[in-house]
Amino acid sequence: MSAGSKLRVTCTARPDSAKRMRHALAAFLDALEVDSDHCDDVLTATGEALANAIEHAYDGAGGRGTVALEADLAESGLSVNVSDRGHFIERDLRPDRGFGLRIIRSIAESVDISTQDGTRIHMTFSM
Amino acid sequence: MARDGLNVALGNAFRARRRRDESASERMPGEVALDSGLAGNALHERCNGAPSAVLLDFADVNYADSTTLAELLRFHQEASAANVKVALLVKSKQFARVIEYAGLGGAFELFDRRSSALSYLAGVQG
Repeated sequence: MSAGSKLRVTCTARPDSAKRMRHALAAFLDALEVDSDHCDDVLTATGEALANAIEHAYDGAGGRGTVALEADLAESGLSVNVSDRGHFIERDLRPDRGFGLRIIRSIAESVDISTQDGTRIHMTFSM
Repeated sequence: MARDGLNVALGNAFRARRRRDESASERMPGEVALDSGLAGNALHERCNGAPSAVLLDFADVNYADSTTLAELLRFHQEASAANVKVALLVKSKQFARVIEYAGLGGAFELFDRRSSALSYLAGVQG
């Protein structure tokens, strides 16, 4: 693995964007030779953050806004940011849809959610 | 057959002998997530033949997310209320782990071998 490696992807907020951004992150992690179990976990947590942003951040106006994915590998581990300019919806408040954040928090070493000027989910993962 | 971006096909094991009030098997390949259409009632539409047991075959699914889990949970709850037994066939480590991470390990009858899942359902029916 190479500390200092960065990934930057920005996509229009559409349902199929999450898959494309996950695949970009998978290629990044593969290039860094991250083992498959770690890779699966990072992709799962990031996929949840991307799905949350795309599904809810634009209040049904998907296709108009953008979602950004940033991944940075440091000596201390992997840092991943998923950000948008929409309104965050706490899915844990929905009895039938409360699994996304639970999954993220189960996987990531730390999770920080900022809802000022859009939503930014910052996750760190040990490598 | 393709529907709303989600490929759904009857599993071979049940295909020849499926009839009303018996068993149904639904097979999902690839990635099942936000854009797959699973949240669009695909499961419910495909399992509307009033079976007594259903095998949800996710053996070929290599990625699933919380939208999939939410839909599975809803389907499972409705099936249980109708006395329809449901078995999940999951081979991907990612899918198995996401079920655990969501705290749903005890919510489903989970199998990693099709024969075990079918035996479970056969036992239920017997």
